[in-house]
Amino acid sequence: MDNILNIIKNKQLTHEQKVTSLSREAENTLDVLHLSPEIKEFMDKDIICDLFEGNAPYRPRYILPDYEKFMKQGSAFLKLNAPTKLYEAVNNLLILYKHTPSITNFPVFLGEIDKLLEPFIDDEKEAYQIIKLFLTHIDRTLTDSFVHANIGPEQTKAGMLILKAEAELVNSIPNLTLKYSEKTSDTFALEAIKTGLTAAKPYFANHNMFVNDFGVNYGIASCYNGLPTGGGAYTLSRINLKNLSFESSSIEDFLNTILPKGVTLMCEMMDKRIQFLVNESGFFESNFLIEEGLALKERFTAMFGIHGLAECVNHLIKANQLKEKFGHNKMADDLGLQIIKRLEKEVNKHNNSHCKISDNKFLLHAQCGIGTDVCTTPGCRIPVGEEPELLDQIMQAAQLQKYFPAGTSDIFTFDDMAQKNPQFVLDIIKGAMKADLRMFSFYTKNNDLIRITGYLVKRSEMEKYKNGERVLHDTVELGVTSSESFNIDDRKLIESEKEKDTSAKGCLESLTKA
Amino acid sequence: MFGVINKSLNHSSVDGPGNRLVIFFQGCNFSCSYCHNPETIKVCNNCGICIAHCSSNALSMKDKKIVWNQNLCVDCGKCILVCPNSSSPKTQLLSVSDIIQQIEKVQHFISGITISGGECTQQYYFLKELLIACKQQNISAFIDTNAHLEFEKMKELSQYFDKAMPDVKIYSNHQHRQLTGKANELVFQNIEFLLQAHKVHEIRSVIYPEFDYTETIEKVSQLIASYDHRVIYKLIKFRPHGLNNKKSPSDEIMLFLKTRAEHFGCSNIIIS
Ligand code: SF4
Ligand code: SF4
Repeated sequence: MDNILNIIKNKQLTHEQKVTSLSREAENTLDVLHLSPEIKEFMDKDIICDLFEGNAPYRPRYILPDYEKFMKQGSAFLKLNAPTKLYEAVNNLLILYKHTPSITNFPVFLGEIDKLLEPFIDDEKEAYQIIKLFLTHIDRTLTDSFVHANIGPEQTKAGMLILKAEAELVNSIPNLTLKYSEKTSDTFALEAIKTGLTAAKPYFANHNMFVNDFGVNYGIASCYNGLPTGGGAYTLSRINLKNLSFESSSIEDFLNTILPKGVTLMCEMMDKRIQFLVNESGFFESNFLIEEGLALKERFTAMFGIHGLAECVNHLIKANQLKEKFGHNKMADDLGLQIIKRLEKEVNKHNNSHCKISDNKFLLHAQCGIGTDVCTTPGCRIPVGEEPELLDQIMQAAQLQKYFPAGTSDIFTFDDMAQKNPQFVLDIIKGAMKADLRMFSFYTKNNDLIRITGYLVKRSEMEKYKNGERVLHDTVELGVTSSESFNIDDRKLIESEKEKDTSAKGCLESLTKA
Repeated sequence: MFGVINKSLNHSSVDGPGNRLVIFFQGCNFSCSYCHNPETIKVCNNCGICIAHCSSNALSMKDKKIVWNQNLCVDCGKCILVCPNSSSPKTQLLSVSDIIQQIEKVQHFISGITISGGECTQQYYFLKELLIACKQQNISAFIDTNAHLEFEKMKELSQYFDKAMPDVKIYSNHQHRQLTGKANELVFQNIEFLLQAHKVHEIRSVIYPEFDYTETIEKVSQLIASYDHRVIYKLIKFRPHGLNNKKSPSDEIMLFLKTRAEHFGCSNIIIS
């Protein structure tokens, strides 16, 4: 009850943020999942985490509506006809966005907005104005940085206008991904890079890899999650590999006993969540998205998240010096790969009949962390401040990223000189994609808008929040805590020419700070 | 044949278009007072002075030659700082095929390579061999040069590189001597030839606080405009480093020079 009153009296929350927090408190008074004591023990030890999904799941965590269908058929429930003009198209989309549930109550996937708008673009000047209003509307009403739009791979008029508008507006919302492949023209890619160096978006997603995993009907949602469109993910839980490694007595014990045990327990928890959501919550019998075929239960899956691989490896091999650690040492990197391969094998032993789209399996996801994580590196990244030379980092990440169809990414920070040579960034991205890197994200170090772990926040907004002011976007708070615990300003800078030594300060500092 | 190589970088955004692997040749015929990499000027004479200053035991003497153990080196830079000979004990002797192998490892990540220095044309024959090998492998190769090379040699070399990025230190011959120890007629003769042959990607001038660059900017800009106004003119701010802690020229001065360059017909000016 104290919590509820605290939320009500909190002066830093906007009205909408209060409502969301209050509904979460209400949900959490229930106990319908009946988790086993073993699961609870692992949750208490911060090994397994349900990522604040709540005690009684009543909507899928991530829904990726079939917007193409929506543009063709409109919606009976929303009383909308198929659009014929750009302003109608934009209006229809904005309406649907506000009725698409998710874990945050904001839509985590806005569709392939270039393809959706392209048929309606004739006067480019007017279209540009409408697109700017569309994007501004999204930033000011869908106030959560996990709201994510896609463009590409082909160059379109709409795609170019969206990139120009994003570079001009420099909004933190929506998150944006360019699906990149050999179908993407250099002109389009370079425009995306110019936007990226100003506005820290889009991500470059390796289109061919995602098509291999999902077919063409996939989208990138939330932070960077690959999922089927017209479906989504029921749930995402994560396992903290660092804390899990503390349970083991040796590498063998970890690989053969502890890791499989962790996987089993988390799968059991995910099964329970899915069971309640599908069979008891009533979502799939009552939501209009399902009724109108804009999302199909057969196209939902579930995401098995991990984080803290770097610390797990370093703990298991007792690495202290940088040259012994994950990201700098072949033995450490090999062990990292071995763990992920074993993880995949263990997760694939488990079947859940509600996940038909992924052969009844859960999909691996390299989770990007939450604000309270201290000294646990997102997914399988190398800790901030310990990144090796750029190309080594890309090759190392590429080895691991392929195991994570449901999302992973590495973040690269450029100095100001890159803005004068966007082809430089494109060359690196092309190489990275050839090396099978799944997701490449980047920003310019000194900009206001920066990528924290998987989402965008403005430095200026974080300053405001730290000074006790209310801010519109709920992810600003997350940005403040995360940027401190992950030391994001120590992220290795890709300098124009020089290679500097890296020093592994990151975590020690934040421990002493905490 | 082997080249004396100071170092190479797998990626650079400032040495030509796109991402380029950069190879720094050892040895230079100029000795500019503001040189950013003075350790590339001379070839090591194996005097051994640096050995005692390395606290990682990465340096030793074998058969009267300095030996650098890359695995022990922690890149602290002390050896370079104490070398009285503007050199480095960390140079390597590499063959053309060594370098080509190095390029192939990163070829998916680069638009091409840039050979820099030191002054790469000082190792003329090795450079030529490397450029020919790059041509055979379809690797775009640029050279970064002070353009102080016999005219005939420059002409010959220009068949093998894709583009050059020559420096103009300063226009006044007197000041050029003062700054580099050499006259600059040859520099301009070569640059004009290269411009005519469409072999110039950009011309570079470092803006050093002790000199007035108004005349240099005027002459170089006119030269560029008379051949191809799109050739980049890059004005590089001197940055204090190591022992030279003179202040960088102000942003106002850089902008003023940029406007002058535009005034004299350049259309592609980069301040860096
Ligand atoms: S840079 Fe390397 S070789 Fe030179 S002094 Fe330092 S550790 Fe020794
Ligand atoms: S690098 Fe300099 S100090 Fe060291 S041996 Fe060579 S010339 Fe002597």
